[in-house]
This record gives sequence, C-alpha cells and structure tokens, in this order.
Amino acid sequence: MPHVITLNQETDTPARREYIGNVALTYLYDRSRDSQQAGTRGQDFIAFCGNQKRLAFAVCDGVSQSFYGDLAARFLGEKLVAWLADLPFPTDVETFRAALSAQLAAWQPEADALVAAHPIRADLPPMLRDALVRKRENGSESMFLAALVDHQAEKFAACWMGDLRLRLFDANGEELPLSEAHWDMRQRWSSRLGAKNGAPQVLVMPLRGIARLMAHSDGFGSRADMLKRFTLDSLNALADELLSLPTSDDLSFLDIALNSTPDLLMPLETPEPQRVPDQPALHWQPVAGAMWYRVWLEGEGRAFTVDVTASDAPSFLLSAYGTYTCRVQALSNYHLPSALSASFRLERAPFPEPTIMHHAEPVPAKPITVKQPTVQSVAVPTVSLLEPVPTPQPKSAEPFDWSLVTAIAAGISVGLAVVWYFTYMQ
Amino acid sequence: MPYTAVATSTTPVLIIYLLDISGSMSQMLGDKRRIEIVSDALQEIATEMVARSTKGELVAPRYRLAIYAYESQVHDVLGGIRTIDQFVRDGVPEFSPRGGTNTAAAFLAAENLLAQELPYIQTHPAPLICHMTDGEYQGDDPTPIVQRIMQMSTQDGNVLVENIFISDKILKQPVEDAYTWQGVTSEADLANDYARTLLRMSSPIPESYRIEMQEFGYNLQPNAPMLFPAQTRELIRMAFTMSGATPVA
Repeated sequence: MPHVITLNQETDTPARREYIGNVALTYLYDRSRDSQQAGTRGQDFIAFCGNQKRLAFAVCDGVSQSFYGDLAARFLGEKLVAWLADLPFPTDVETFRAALSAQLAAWQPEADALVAAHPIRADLPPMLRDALVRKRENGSESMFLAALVDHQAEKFAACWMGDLRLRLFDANGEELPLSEAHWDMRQRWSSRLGAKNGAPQVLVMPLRGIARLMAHSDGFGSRADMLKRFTLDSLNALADELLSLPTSDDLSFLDIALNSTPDLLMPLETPEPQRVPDQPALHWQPVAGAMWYRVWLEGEGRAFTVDVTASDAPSFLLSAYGTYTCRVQALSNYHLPSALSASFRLERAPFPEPTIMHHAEPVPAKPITVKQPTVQSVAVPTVSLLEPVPTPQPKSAEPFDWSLVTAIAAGISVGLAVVWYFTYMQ
Repeated sequence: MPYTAVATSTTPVLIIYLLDISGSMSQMLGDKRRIEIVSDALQEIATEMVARSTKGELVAPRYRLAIYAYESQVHDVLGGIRTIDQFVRDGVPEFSPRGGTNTAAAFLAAENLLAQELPYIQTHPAPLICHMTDGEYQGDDPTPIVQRIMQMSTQDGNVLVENIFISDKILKQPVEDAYTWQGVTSEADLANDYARTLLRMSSPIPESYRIEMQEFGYNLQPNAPMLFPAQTRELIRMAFTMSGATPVA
C-alpha cells in the first residue's frame, strides 16, 4: 500500500520544494482569508505519492456551497492518488475514462456514509443547523485534477472534473497548448451522485517535450499567468497578495519539474526519534538544515503522512486512534530528503473526550433530524416591542428558590381559607 | 458589466426588506395568515443565504440585512443593519399585524439608509430593496421616492427594487406554476392601476439574478420586472428567493 502524502487542511503550508527521485515538487497551500481568520479548515486538498518510477498526485477543490466541501476534497484526493499509484498505465483515453468512472462510482457509497455520519454540532444556531442539514441532503462535492506520471513509459495520464487547471511547460518555460482539454466548472464529484454533470475529462500524453506539469486551483484567478515562472519567494508573495483581495479563496498549487536535482545533493541527516514516556508521541533532536519533518504512519489499514514544522524541539503526537508504525524523515527545500528513521510503534486507545462529545451530536453515526423552527419558537422581540428586551437569565442564575416560594404561597392560601371560614361560616 | 460583483465577506450585499404589517396581513391565505407565510418565506430565504455563506460551519458575512416593518409607522426591526452571521444567531423576527399602510414612509426610511451606506459600499454588489405588501398605500404616493432610490447606485449598478404584492387581483390571468412562469411580460398582463404603479416601481431583473433563479428551478424571461404577484405560498417563496439571488463568491 503506497503512503499518500497529504498537506494539512487545518493550516497553511508556505511554498515548499521536495524531491522524489529526479522530480522536484513545488507546492503551496493557503486557506482563504475567511478560513484563516476563523481558524477553520481549507476546502482545497493536495496529495501525492511516488518513487523513482512513477508519481501520482491530486489537487482537489471542495465546493463550499456543498456540505463540508473539505470532506469530499480530502476523501477523493486520497482515493485518487492511492488508486493512480497502483494503476497499470492506461493504454488509451477511453480505457482510462472507463476505469476512472468505475472508481468514482465505487467510492460514492463510502463517501455518502461519511457525510451521513459527519456530526452537526448541537449548539449551533437553529438557522445554521437548518442550512447544514439542507446542504447535507445534497452531499459533499469536490472538483479534482489528478495525474499519473510514468517515467519508464515516458507518458502521463491526467483526469479532472471542474475548473482546476493543468498546465504544461517546455524546457524554456513556454506554456504548451492543451487544445483537446475541456474545462467545465459545473462538473464535480459528489458524495451523493458520484460524477456529476457529465463524464470525467481525461488525457493521456507522452512526456516528450514536457519539462514541467502544473496543477492549481481557481483561487489564483487572473493572476494565474504569474505562475509561469516563479520562485518560492514569489509564490509566497503572490499568495499574500491574493489573500488581501475581497475575493480571497483557498489556494492550492503543485508544480512538478521533471529531471530536476536539488542545489545540495547531500541528503539530510536521518532523524533519531525517541518515544515520549506514557504518551503516543515521539520527539527528536533537530536535524541541521531541516525545514520540516514528515512522519510516515502505517496501521489500521491505512498508510499516510503528517508533516511537522521544524522547531528547536520537534515532536509528534499521534492523534488518530489505533496502533501505527511511525517513522520520521527530515526535509528541506534545498536538500535531498533524509532516509526514514527507525520505526516506532505508537498506540492511541479510543476513549470519549468530553469536550468533543459536548459539541457533537448525541449519536453522530445516525442521520440528524432537526425540528423545523417555527416563527413562534424564535426568541426575538415582536415589532411592537422594539425597546430592548431583558435577556432571560440562565436557570443557575435565578435569584429565587422556587420550592420555597411555592411553599410560602401554599401557606398563604391555607391561611386565607381559614380566615374566610371563620369570617363567613360561623 | 452591471450586476456582476459577487457578494463576499469584504464586499457583502446590502438587502433591505420593507414588510407591510398592516392589519390586513392577518387575513388568511389558505390555512395560514398572510403574515405567517411571509415569516416562513423570510425564514427560508435567510436559511438559503446562510447556506450560500457557509463554508463548513463558518458563516461568512456575505449579506447585510435591514428589515423595516411598516404600518402607519415604520419600525426598524433589527435596530440597524445586521450581517447574516449576526442574523443567524437571532433568527427571523415575529411580526404583529396592525394599523394602516404608509408605504411612502417605509421607502423614505430605506432611502435614508442607502444615502448613509452608499459612499462606503461602492465596490459591493448593488443593494436590493425587497418590498412586500398586500394592499394599496395610504397617505403619500411612494413612487417619487422609489424613482429616486432607483437612481442611486454602486459601481455594480443602480439599486434594485423588487415588489411582492400579496393579492389575487394583480394579474388578469392567475399564475399556474411558479416554476414555469416567465414573469410579468407586459403592462397588459396587469389587472389594476396599483399593479401598474408597482410595475413602475420595479427594476428589471439583472441577467446574473435570472441565472441564479434558474439554479433554483425558476424560468423568468430576460429583463422581466422584479414584480411578483404573490397569490400562493409558492409564489411568495419564489419572490423571496429572488431577494437572495445576488451572486456569491
């Protein structure tokens, strides 16, 4: 099972470069300004996987109008890369399209179940819950662009739905035309329907004459032309600029330079992690020149990676439940990556986390049914009461002991009854 | 090209609702009072706006709302402008029908609000006024005020005015199906003078709005006036859908 390398949707990844075989991958992942300010996940997703012989990658753009578009983007991106990495190179376009269409349909039920199980927090305002329930009925959707580069066959195969861009460049940096390619922004993959608004677009081409392949999301808009020639610094500057615009959107960028070698041929030193006592965690001494670290995990039927930013005391805490074999690698923009460290077995037992359960649905695995709020149920003033209305106090703040008040009222009633009896009945 | 600016969290669209809450709004339309059907439709379009503004569970403030309920007097229901993420916390207000129908005063309040806001929202989508009534105005004629409002603008285009008339007396032929209805096609479709007054007070539908309405399954013709004869619950829902059809990022 190949390890699919993924970029974290919960944070931003500045422009980085790494090497797999003779290929240099340059990538950047920036969430939109809204997402950054609110500390929420980006809806784009980047994943790749490769060795000396072949490289598979996917860039996905979750549809924000759908139910948690980040969910479909991540699900589909991981599936596509793992599938492409093991795929016998397609002989022709139609064979490739048929195989892909079958996979897109096959993944749909699993994603549908994932969407159905995704909790909608009980403490959200009713109107927001209604909106999310409405969105869930239509499923989670993502556009995608994925490709397999086969160095031995000297060919590449690409597939996409939506308006993510695939661009090819020759050794002089000139963009090569993709005259047969068709981009339709209505096309996407849906957790409810599978491929939506038509069959996926596919392309099978020789690598001859191609020096670079590039994939990016639509967040670059009219500035996409500036990506023809770039440095890591210029990419970061462009991302900063786009972030300041009113239309700031998630940014995903992946460039694959074929036949490329790093500035410094020596690989980085291999990290030497140690277990943190009594925790499913590792820590290690910083590796000279390392700019980030990658933890390779395998277990529970999954193989994946988690990137860790370099620091004076780098460490990794396992957040996924289960038992995993973990190895650590050091990476840098300018060096070959290190070898993988010795492996460590980490285990995290599943246990209820009160803080999470407090915010989650009581039974997350079941579809959510929400009572439609009525006009009467909304606690807002009527227009005839435009003056500020006192906010109801929470129960714990009530100044009265109601049982005491009830007892006093009952006593007064009995007293009045006795007075009435002696006044009028005797 | 006008009316193509998209609503974003930094360039939100301003939508002003002018809702007639005169005594006649307590009359029944089917099995519900008119005012309750309007509240339901407002709830529905507000939920749709929330859905269109939501990434995950983050509600981006792409819409700014003001609600003026009017009878003989005008009431600022939200106490100024609220962004959709603020509105979502409070929900749709409850209305109590009473009094007369001072339509001119409501449009005057909207004009004053626009005069304050427009200098600051020139790069935003053109604001929209959604006026809902069930009867003829009392007092001053609102037409001159509305015509002044329709001359106000942002870089995206002139302020849009939509009219929803809850009545079965506006069209000569009733609308059979909200989804196939093409809109008011000519003045000859209209059954009375007040309907013709409302027609003059209604902006033509921008193409970007018409395309958004197509996404909801409606088939309005190009340049149809934003005038909706709301004889049924379906037509009221359609009319309120229009008020949230500003393109979003």
